[in-house]
Amino acid sequence: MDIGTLTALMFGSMIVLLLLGLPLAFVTGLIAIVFALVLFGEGGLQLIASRIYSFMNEYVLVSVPMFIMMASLMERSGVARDLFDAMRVWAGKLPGGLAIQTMVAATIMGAMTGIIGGEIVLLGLIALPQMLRLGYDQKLAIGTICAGGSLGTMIPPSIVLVIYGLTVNVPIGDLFTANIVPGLILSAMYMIYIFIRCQLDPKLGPPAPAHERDIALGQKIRMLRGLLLPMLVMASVLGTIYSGIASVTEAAGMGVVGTLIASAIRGDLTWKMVRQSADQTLRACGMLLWLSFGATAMIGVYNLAGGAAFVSALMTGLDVPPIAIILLMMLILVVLGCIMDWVGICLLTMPIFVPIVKQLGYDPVWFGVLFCLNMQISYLSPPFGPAAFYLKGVAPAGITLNQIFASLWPFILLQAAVLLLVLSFPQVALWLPSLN
Amino acid sequence: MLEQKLQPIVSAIGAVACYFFLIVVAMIAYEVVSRYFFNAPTIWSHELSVMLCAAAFLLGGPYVHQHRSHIIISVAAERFSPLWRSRAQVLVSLLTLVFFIVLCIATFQQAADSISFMEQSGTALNWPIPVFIKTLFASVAAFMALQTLFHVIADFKRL
Repeated sequence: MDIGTLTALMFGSMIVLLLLGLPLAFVTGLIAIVFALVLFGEGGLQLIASRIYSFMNEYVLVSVPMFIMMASLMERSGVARDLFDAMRVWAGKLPGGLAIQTMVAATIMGAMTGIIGGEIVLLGLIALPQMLRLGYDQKLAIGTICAGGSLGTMIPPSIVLVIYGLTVNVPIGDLFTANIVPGLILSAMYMIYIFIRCQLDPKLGPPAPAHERDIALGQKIRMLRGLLLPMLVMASVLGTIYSGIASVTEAAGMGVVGTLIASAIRGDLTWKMVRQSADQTLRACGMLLWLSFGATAMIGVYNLAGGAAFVSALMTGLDVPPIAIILLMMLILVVLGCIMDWVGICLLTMPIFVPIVKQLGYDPVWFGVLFCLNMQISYLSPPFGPAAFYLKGVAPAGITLNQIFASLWPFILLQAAVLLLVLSFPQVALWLPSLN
Repeated sequence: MLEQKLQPIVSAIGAVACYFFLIVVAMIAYEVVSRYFFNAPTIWSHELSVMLCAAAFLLGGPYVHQHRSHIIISVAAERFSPLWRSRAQVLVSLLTLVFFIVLCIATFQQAADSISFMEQSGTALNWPIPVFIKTLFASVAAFMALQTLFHVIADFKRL
């Protein structure tokens, strides 16, 4: 079978099986097994088993459950709620002020967690009712929460970058550093967008009534104590990485310890909460890892059959400037992002794309930032937009999934704009790591 | 319901595997403190963390599969008529069963090879961790095949 036909068959059967409703983990696994048997006989099965085995033996992968458990503990303790309350009282008379403060809180939470989900659920429970109560435009409020909550994997730490670094063998610390500036730019763009919309039409984001705003300055400053514990958590993760005390995996473990301590200081740490967080971590890992097993097996079989060389020849053979090839890759990622989970996309495309990126003379760290930005789009883009599903789970009854998706497109455009910015000016991402 | 028969086993798996993560947190904290403050790194923390996490990742599979909560893309299937949806569900379960049966063959072979020479990790610790993980992988694959078989039976009854 020639490799072009094989590519079409593999990709075609993947789409058909996905649409049929077969779980992503089993779609990729099944395709891997069938094609391995057809192409390499029984030896192909051994290849799959040993590839999955070596995948789960990566030390870096230990950081994934640690980051998930951290977020899960944070969701259950009041640490993040205090943070939101501390920010909220500074909204003042500014139209859209509460949405902007929600975005500030979301950005700080992004620096404490490395996953999405928990943050959106949390903001959906505490910030959304506040904004709707003040009479905020529903679309603006929903967009703020979904886009802000997705920053969890954009502002370091981020498990998207962990899996990317693992897949293509790039230092994860460099990826984290490179993502800081683009992540903050993205968050600033959201705030500017909210500010401009509310300046043009103040009815979109009315301020709190005067008697609620009337909080003494001393009281407001005392509430800033709500920032201390999140800072402790951030220091325990990012501090240990950047000071060189610990590897990314150990930093993630220390993040769990930091979150436990923060919650204990606040006085709401219970054994039940720890137990529930561990349970949620097991569930999330069961999904994430089995999906990874299938994807890593499928791409292993494809590449052994000559897939990577084929796609590489196809792309570099195009008579276009290198940057157009990068743009084409971004387009492919956006399309895949509509139908697939980020981890599947990362494991399936990056072993093929990144060697091409390097061959074209680009920095794989820069490409990692682009990938991460691209996955921000995938969280919001229908029909498979995890951010929307997370919010739907906790949004007031009457807010439909369609209404949520309809609220998200201005934020998707902002994400695309930042993606193009980093694409055109790689130094936006790369100057910070170059300081080291 | 036949599917429910496995529930106690799955709950037990979940209850045990949860603790693996908590043990890993403790081991990492111990390692960082003893290395950084007492200049006494351990030889076991690293390797045992990887082992416990790999075991938990594997056991998370049946834990999620029991309630069929693996990520699916439901946009197309939701538009089928109820009859066609249940037919599609039977097909989905059958395909999943094929996957797990073949995965069993692959992982049993791998485990048998590993056991035959008591494969060790080849590190300072040098425990037979590969034997443990590879055997667990095969057992989990077999258990998930059984879960899927029960899903198939349940789906056929719903037709």
